[in-house]
Amino acid sequence: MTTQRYDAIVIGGGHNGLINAAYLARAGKRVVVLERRHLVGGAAVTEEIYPGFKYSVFSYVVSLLRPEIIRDLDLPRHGLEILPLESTVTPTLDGDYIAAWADHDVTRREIYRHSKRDADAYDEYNKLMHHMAMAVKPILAMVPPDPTSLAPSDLRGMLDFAGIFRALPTRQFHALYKLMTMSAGDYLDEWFETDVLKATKSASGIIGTFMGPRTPGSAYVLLHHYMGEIDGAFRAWGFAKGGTGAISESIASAARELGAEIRLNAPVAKILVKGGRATGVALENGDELHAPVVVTSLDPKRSFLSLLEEKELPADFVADVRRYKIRGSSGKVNLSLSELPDLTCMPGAGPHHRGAISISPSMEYVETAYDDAKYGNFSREPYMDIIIPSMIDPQMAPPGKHVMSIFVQYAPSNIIGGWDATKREAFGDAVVNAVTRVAPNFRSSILHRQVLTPADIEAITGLTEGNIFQGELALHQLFFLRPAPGWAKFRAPLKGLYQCGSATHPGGGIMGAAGRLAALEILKDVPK
Amino acid sequence: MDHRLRTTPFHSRTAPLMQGAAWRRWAGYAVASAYELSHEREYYAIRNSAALLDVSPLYKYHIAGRDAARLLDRVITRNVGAAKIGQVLYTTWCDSDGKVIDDGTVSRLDDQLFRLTAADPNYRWLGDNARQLDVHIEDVSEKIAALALQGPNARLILEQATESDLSSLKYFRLTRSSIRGIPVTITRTGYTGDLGYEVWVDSASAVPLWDALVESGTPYGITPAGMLALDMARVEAGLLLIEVDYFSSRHALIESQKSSPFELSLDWTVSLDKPQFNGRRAIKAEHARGAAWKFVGIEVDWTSLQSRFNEVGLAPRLPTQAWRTSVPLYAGGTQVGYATSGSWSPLLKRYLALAHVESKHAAPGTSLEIELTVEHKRKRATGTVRSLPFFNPERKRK
Amino acid sequence: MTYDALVVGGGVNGLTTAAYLARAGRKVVVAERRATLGGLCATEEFHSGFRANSCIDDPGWVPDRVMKDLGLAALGYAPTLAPLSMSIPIDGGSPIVISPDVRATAASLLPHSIRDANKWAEFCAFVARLSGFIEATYSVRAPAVESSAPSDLLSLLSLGRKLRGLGRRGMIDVIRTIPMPIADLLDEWFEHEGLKGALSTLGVLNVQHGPQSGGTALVFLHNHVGLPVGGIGARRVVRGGVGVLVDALAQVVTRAGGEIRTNAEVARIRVHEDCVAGVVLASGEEIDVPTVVSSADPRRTFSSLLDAGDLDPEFLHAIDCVRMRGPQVRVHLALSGVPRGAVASMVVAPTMTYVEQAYDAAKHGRIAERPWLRMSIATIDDPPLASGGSHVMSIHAQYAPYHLRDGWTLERRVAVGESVVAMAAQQLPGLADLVQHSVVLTPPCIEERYGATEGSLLHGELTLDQFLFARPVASHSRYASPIEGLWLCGSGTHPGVGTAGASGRLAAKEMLG
Repeated sequence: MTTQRYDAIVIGGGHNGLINAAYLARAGKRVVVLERRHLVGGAAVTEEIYPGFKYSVFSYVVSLLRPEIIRDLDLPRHGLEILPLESTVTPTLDGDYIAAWADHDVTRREIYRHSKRDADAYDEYNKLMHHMAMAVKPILAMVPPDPTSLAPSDLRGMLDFAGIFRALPTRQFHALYKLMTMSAGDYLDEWFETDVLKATKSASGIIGTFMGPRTPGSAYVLLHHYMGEIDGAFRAWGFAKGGTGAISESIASAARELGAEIRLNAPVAKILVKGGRATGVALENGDELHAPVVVTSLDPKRSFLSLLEEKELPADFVADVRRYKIRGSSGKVNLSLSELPDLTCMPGAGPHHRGAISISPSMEYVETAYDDAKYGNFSREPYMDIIIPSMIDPQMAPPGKHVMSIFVQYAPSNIIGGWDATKREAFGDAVVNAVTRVAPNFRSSILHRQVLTPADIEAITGLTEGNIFQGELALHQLFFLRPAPGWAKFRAPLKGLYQCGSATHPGGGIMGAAGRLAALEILKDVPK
Repeated sequence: MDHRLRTTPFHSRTAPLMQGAAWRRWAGYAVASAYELSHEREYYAIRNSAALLDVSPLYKYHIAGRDAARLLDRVITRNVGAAKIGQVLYTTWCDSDGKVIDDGTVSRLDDQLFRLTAADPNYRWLGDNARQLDVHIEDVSEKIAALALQGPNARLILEQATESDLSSLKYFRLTRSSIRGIPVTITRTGYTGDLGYEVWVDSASAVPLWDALVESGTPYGITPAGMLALDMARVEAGLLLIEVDYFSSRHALIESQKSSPFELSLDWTVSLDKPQFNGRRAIKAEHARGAAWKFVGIEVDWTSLQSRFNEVGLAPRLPTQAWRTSVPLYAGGTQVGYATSGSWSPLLKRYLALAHVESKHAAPGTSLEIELTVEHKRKRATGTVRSLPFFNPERKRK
Repeated sequence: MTYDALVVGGGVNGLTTAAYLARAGRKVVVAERRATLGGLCATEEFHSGFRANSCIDDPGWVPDRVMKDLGLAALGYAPTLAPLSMSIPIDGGSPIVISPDVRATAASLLPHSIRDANKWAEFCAFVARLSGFIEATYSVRAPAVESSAPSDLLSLLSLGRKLRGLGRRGMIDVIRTIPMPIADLLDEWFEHEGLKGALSTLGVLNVQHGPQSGGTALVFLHNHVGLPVGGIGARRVVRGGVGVLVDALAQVVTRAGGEIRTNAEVARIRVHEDCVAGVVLASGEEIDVPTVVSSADPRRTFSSLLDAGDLDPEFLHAIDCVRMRGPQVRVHLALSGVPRGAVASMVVAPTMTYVEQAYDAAKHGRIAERPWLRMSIATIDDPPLASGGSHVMSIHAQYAPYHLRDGWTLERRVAVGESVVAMAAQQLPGLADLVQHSVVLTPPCIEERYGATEGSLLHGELTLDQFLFARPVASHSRYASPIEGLWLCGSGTHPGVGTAGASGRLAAKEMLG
């Protein structure tokens, strides 16, 4: 057993942990990141599961990564390159499709084909969402104030928060309020008449949540996904060259250059507490590391219910953490393919292979997929977001071959009877069947298949219930309520202990805002 | 899925004329900027003989039914109910805050049939205004192709082609006719401020129509022209262009980008006495307090322009094309407006611009300063407010 | 005859507004479309000798201010809390009996869950605290969150102070609870499925949402505004039925010099130069009047009583988007006696999953095969509603959505009535033999008979996005409309349904300035 001292210890080498460490190191702190696995990234990793085929195993697209982080850490110099993902094609049940392309005129023509009204509405909708995202964006950079506190900083914070809304023109304020409270389905009903268009749009309101398109609160997630920004362009989705792991690697490289130490294969067994403050961590191998600052990027259930003992924390905080809803709802299927899927609705190779293929043929389809999950089953006919990374970055697969990434919803973490190998394969089969329905050559093109259920995601990444956002993006779990009331400012009820994961404001996706904001808060607390 | 830019029904005729691959986008269609390598000849055709312009990409809607006039009267600012069959109205239409959404023309084709042309899509907006009304709205943008024949010889050419007398067709009136057996609607309208007509035809008959007009027009100097020539002509004519001279309130990102009809000096298009129309309340209120801005012509003073260039040892440099950028205007050192389009007028031999100016500086004759860049440096030249249009030949209306 | 104001609709809110206006010296006329007053709050004879509360069992909370201002108690409106709030049948066990008596309820829970029994008192206090805060927001017009006018800021501040008055934990509870799904809230408190199932119905009452839908906790709290601690699911009973409130209000109006006309359907509101000019009745009669107050729901008021050209398309679109969606069927049964084992109020909703599954049907445009039921026998607390020892049972069944995928037909209406009665009979064997007559009110029936769009008893779903400053639409949440002289005062405005007369009073207050 050895003991070492640092200024700060960061538990978990996911993107938020790495960003946090990089910012601390940049401020001259001696930081160590402890990662359980043999590679950094957490849910943002690229792995060569089968020789020659590289999978973005979990998270697979990026747009939310905060531009200030990219600039501050000079990530492009460390290898970050984001390639555009330009289109979305949704095959419909009648053999047709609806698509959105990079070019506005082409997209308009496509939507017009389905509905003249919707073609007009589409532009106005996008404009409004742009406004909404602009309005909400400053919140992403805010440390949530405590609304119950009368401390000047909190009052000022609340005023700033209110100011964001008050600065909006009345109509936009109302639209934002609706967006915060409505279901994605109801919200989209106000705009569009084409069912498959609504289904595809609403799907981005349910990604990663345990909600259906008709569940109030899902409209907010629509906005969450609109806040992405690549090179100043809103809502653009991209794919990292080298897969999502390349993002983590670039951050790790920046952190190392700034002096942070990153230890792989270093699972933390517990957070050490002495005299009411966190003093370090003990690794599973028995090593102890000490630091006045311990930052956890794990979700609160893992951080507070398993790395700490209940008695070390206030009872109402523990109760809040217990009732914090995590609920994994999605799975992931990664495939190696001998050829591209030949879509019945769009035969042959084409630009659609360079974008997303959405399996969301109708509102009813997506809602029914949710109904299955609500009662503890995986969706027999799931919603899927499919991309073919090798079409965007050819180095992801051997020449002529392809890799495919399928995000699948719903796969509830609390499936009846628990997940096992049989259910996993049945779930994989449901996915393959659903894709084969729109691309008949699909089944026979599969060379390798990796099926990840929420239980697998939890086992590999450590994310409780396999939830990709470390907790639902529901209204009662956002901002100053995330992850627990009174503890939304990246601190924890133990002196010296901090949180920086997606379970803190502003939440999930490869955004990195939590990691950065937490570092800035920590630097306020520690002596220079 | 075809990802190529769409082409108009005249493409098989316009494409072979193209010498410099100078296509540009207009409403999702490829149209010619200029057919020849220079647009000069095309410009002069507008003013001296006749230019033939493909204006098919315009959005066109047919509004039919018992309440067709009522619908349009709810939407647009001019009085449709008072329009006679065969009349064409240039108009704006506004949102509920009285800010301009779009401008275009309304043709009364029949008692209960109208055609609306627009720069932007308006299908949904028309539908939203059609509540409780017995009316049918059809988007005929693709169904109907259109050619503008503009210039002093336009009437002669059309008379040849239609074998009918068009002298009785007054300015902003329409007639149904046929050209070589092709049924057409001819409106005496255009975007050049000159004598001119627009010919509306079923897209299926577009090519024979083109051929017929070219054949009839060749002895009179008919010249296919592109957007560059048109742009110069419309500045001379003082005609504003959406997304250049003003932003549709639908596309504006902030309030200050929006304009009311008064702010565009289109007061004459607003029938305040109509009991209902979108934006009426806001427009009435603005009328009562007076518009804050006016849309005016600016003539850049030649001597002043020349001396700015002479100061650095250069002769004055004039733009070869109409420009579409925002250029600040000053009065006594403070900015009081901005020009949005400008062009050298080869015909008038004046340097012209179209501009938004604060109302108190908008009286014709007011002297302002306009920014210009001379050898990488920002300078100011004197400019004078002029009433629009700059060019207004008698033949336009006669 | 010339009037200062005309009120469209003689329901509780219409009459309340008329009463306030008349008492302020305005010359008021109320125009009611039907032959009887009351609207959705009517007590009517549905079968010879049998009277029932047509649409709602409980008139809702009449704010103390309204009671006092209008002297309603003296006019015979004296609601009391029924001794039994609801009985929850439990398969193979004694029913859980919820009553305003906190201890008795806890005792009733004890055989089912010691944990839940122990938490009951705390839960009652929690609900009372939160709905108490909501009640405070209901006593004033909706705050204008985005306004910077001093009066608006003051009223926001005063709400903020009230919120602060709840203490740190209380504040968090309010902020956190309101957007929650009722299922999550109940899961945090209780373990017994039967209890949670029955309580969850109070979170989805009359809305087309399920217990797992966000914001249903708000509906639950809303339904407890004005009730004392322990009044979970409590019922206000009025001798003579809910219509007594209407009679009392009508008396106030007439005594103050107001006029009430029945069989006087307003067909159109005339507008001249953006101002109200008068109304046209269905009979063709025209009444010139400078002020019209509509207690009809916002969709009906703006989409059918006005010429669309008088309103902005943007505003009309917002009105179109107000979700109404009546999700309930109401069945009235004339009974020759009380079925064995029946009590005044029973809720059949065995689990939250059961309620959620019933909702799924509505979500997909179908009638739930197994709806949840609330069965009330009004004659147990108020025997004179039926003559000669007979009884009246009213069953509220949810979900049977207005927007049915295949549309409503007479056959479907009959079938849904039969299946509801059959389900009730499973709980109350022998019920079928006692039924002498039945009436089924589907959402389209409610719409046709009472003029409530989509059969919504709420004049617009009570959800977070249609609440406070967003009710009925955010641009006009303070009773005024875009047309000068036209006001709203019905349940579609803040605070809305379940708060009898609160909207009516606030509207009048706003008009009188």
